[in-house]
Amino acid sequence: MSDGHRRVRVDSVTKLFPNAQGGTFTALQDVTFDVGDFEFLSIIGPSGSGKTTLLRILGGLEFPEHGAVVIDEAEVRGPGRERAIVFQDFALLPWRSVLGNVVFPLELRRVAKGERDRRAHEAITLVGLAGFEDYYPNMLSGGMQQRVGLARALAVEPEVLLMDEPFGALDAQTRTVLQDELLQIWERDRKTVVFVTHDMAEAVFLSDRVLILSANPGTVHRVVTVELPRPRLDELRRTAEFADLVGDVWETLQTLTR
Amino acid sequence: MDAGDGTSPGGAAVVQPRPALVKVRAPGREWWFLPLRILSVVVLLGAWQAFGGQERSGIEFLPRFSDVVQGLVSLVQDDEFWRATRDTVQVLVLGYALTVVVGIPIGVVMGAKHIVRRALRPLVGILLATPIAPLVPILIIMLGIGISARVATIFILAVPILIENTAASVATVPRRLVDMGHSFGASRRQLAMAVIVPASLPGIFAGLRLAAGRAVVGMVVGELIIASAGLGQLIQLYSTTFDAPKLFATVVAVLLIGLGAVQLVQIAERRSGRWRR
Amino acid sequence: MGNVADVDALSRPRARQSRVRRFVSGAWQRYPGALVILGLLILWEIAGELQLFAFLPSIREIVDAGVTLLERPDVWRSWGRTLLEVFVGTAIAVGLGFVLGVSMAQSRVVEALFGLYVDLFQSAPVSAFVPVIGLVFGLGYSAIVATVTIFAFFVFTVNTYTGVKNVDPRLIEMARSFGAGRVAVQFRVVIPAARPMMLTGLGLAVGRGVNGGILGEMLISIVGIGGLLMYYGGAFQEDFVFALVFMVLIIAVVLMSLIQRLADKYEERMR
Ligand SMILES: Nc1ncnc2c1ncn2[C@@H]1O[C@H](COP(=O)(O)OP(=O)(O)O)[C@@H](O)[C@H]1O
Ligand SMILES: [Mg+2]
Repeated sequence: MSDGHRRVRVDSVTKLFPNAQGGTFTALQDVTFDVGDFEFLSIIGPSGSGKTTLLRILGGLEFPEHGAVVIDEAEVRGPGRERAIVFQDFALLPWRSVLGNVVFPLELRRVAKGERDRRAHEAITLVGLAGFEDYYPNMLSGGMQQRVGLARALAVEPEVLLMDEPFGALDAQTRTVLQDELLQIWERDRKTVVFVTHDMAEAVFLSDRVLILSANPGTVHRVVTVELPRPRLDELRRTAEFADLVGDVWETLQTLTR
Repeated sequence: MDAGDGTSPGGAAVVQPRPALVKVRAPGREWWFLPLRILSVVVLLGAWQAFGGQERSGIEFLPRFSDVVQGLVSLVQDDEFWRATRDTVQVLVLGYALTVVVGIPIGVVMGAKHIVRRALRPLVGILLATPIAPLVPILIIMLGIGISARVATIFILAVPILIENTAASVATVPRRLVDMGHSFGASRRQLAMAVIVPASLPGIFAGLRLAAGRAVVGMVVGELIIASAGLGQLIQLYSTTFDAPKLFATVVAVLLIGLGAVQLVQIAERRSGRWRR
Repeated sequence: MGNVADVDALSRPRARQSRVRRFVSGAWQRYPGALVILGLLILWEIAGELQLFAFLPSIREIVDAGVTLLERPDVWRSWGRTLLEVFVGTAIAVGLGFVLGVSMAQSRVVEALFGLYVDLFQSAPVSAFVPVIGLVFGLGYSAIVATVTIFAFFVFTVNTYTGVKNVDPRLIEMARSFGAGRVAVQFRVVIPAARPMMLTGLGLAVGRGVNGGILGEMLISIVGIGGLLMYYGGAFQEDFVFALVFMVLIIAVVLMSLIQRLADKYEERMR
């Protein structure tokens, strides 16, 4: 839970894109929110509401026209070592094995070989892929591929983990399994997480707070605080409190998509 | 499952069977495919043997198959042939090396920079469509009948296809991989070496293969028109002296060099392309 | 999208520019390819006028030579001869290639019988055969036509084969399910679906045919445009050689892009 310290501050961020008619399209307008230290924050919203854009801005892959993102008192001006992204479509290098993919960012940072392998193995074990180090991405199922994506992000030991619909491409069954595992990993080694999703149950199950974006232009519509106890286990999904919260988010999203 | 503890983690994850690393190209699963293929070769050579060696209306002169084999045998024992072969291969290697050294960097820059791609594309397109034969006389005028005109012929013919393929494959490197590299703080150089080049390797190799084929064509055309050295000179010699068996045999040698060159690139391609399906 | 270029296309603040600068950079943004070619031609013209390289004529001299050539009836006759050879040779190649490509793609027997040769020769330097063709077909018209045919045949066959092989089998099943017979499937599904590939093959075949025809004329019988090229090359009249090369280039590019446009049209319709 947030201990009051603000790790990430998104300050009236506005993002414009050129549109097809030669004008501009406002993807995000005046978006402001904080993420606390060790908080798990989900961002949900109709498609086109700028979730991916917002996450890319947080990751330093895209820059706002107005406003700023501040992490630990420093303005984000590009990708940084304290952050790591887990991509929706995995973004694995098909010519590298599981191990090769996980050590990739460590190689970029010139971490020594022994240390590199140790950290990679640790991350791979953490996501339950021990024994699959030498497999290539195309030999793995989608769920396993995203475990690799997660291990790669964990291996750089980020303080802020940015995830863009990381389980969106997976089937429902695999998705819940990975949600459980993600929470287990997070309980053991707390990080600040910004998690983009379009799945309401997923947002509620994982998060301390759920930020609801509205579209055209993307603005913060509402923030729902999830007061469910942790650690959260699978059974939680079948409780009335859980259902109420999901229902609440659902109704809000209903009004937005109409 | 042949790795780990034998259970798939998380239950839902399934490992597909390990695919074959080298795709076996279909000589056919049917039992009769290969025999039929051999039969067709035998019939063809038999017909050649039967119809060759006679003067017929419309066909001026065709040596028999056995004559060509004899020509080949006597060629292989001929120092002149080996000197010419060495000369030809040397020019081919030079021209191809120049093609690779120039073509890949230009292609990478074209693929990575939108404006460069748009700027050079029409030029490359025109070069691709340019018939090579009429250029050779110009190259002779400008560079003389030495080695450089032959190298230039190879280069002009081979480099556009390599540039085109390299640029196209670099331009289509999935955006998510580039983003991923950026997000982990890769420098431009690291991005190019660790992500963009490996990701576009299949396309670059396709370009290298096509360029090898065209390089051999350039080698042959250059030598035939320049006719100052190499196997091309031998071909011209045997055709003006009507030594049909040796002419055919030399042509076969040229074809073998061409096949060999393309084969070499394919071997390199297979070695590097293990991760692909 | 999804390419590398977009990454650096972001974030370059526009400085105030003079009107001229804005015009130049606007033209550069819009027509970079044409400007590169124009720039090269201008450099060429300058180098030619200043006689920087011993054998490089200026563009002006090349154009003059081209005009002179076009005023001569024998040059027109040469063009007529060369284009006729290319046309006849390519037509034969396309006819044979169509039959062989379509049947090879659908019959394993035909593939077993002929696939090997198509495989071998599609990327082989067929130019090596030109002197052989001279020997077999003599020094006349038919030798050049045969050269064109051999140059054009394999690309067209391979493209036809690939086009037919890649026809979506579900479409064929669909047609069968509506009662289409073998012939109807061929003419209403297979060949129309393979048409873009065949047209692409035709474009390549014409390009190679032009090349083959001229090479044949240069090596076998010194007639037509190839003959003129050999003549002017031997006489060191490089302005005439360049003029002829540009003519060949223009004709080849125009023919190939017309055919490619046709192919693109079909492809678009099928998407
Ligand atoms: N590179 C871009 N160029 C132009 N428009 C873009 C670009 N990226 C995103 N957009 C637009 O911004 C809006 C938000 O997109 P995105 O962030 O992907 O939404 P979400 O992830 O919530 O579905 C969409 O309307 C999209 O079309
Ligand atoms: Mg999105």
